Amino acid sequence: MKSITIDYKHFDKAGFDSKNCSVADVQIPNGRHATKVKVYDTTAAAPLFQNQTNVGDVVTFTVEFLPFIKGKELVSKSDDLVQDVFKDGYDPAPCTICTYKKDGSIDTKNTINDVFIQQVRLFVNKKDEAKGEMGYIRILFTLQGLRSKK
Amino acid sequence: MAENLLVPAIVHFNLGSKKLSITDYQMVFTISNGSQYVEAIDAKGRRAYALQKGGEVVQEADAKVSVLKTPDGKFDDDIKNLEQALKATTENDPKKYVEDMLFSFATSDDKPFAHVKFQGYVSEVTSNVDADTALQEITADIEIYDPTTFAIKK
Repeated sequence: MKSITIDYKHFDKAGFDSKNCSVADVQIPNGRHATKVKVYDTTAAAPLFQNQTNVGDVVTFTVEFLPFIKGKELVSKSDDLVQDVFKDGYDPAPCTICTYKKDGSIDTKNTINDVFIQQVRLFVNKKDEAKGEMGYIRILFTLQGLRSKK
Repeated sequence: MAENLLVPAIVHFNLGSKKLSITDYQMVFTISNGSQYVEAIDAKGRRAYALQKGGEVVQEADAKVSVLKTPDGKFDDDIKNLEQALKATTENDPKKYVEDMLFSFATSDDKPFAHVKFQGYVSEVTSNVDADTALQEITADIEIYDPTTFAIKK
């Protein structure tokens, strides 16, 4: 049963789908919009606080995959995904992250526009210290996109 | 779920032309393209974003390989190789200590599925006692010397 899915063109093309790997961890981009700002009013003694929507629309988030035995090529593909950004005609694509309830219906749905892949980290450890079992390969992507305007 | 995950059952490590048998490894490879969104304000005062592509791909490796010092002395040559590689880094000429590093990850039937290779050097050798076997374990840190040589191949 799937609890989380990622719909992203560049991942699909490289073979990062449910057949080849599972999603281990997604940092769902939060919807932070406002920051607090101190405004000094000379007529009042105390500073006033105002909410300002001056946070940019750029969001950075990470997605972690655990490749299956079938998805052996994903290790070398992940390198290509980072290099692809330099290609002519590379277009950032929207990325949709869905989480599901137990009965299979969509719980939350997040879409980030114009996402591109910024970084990949490959983790290869012989032992998984926390679980005491053989360590599997982990692929952690860092992506950056623009928050959709609501 | 855990059974069908990709586990590198066999990892081959080559230091220069020598093949070392390693008993433990911890590796993190980071590849980033340095690209990011830059913010600009358009004529109407609205925010506009442009994808600024980075100048180069930056590769970093944080790799540690370990060799167990067994009582029968089977791996003593491998330990010696690592220590020699560390000693060589005192030389001024990089040609004398930079070696071709190659990691090959293979499944249990010894079919390699990914190769990571780069020119690097041994930056540190430490030893500790393995908790499971109570044997001495020699751990070497490996650094990338020339990031342009870094490649992941099938």
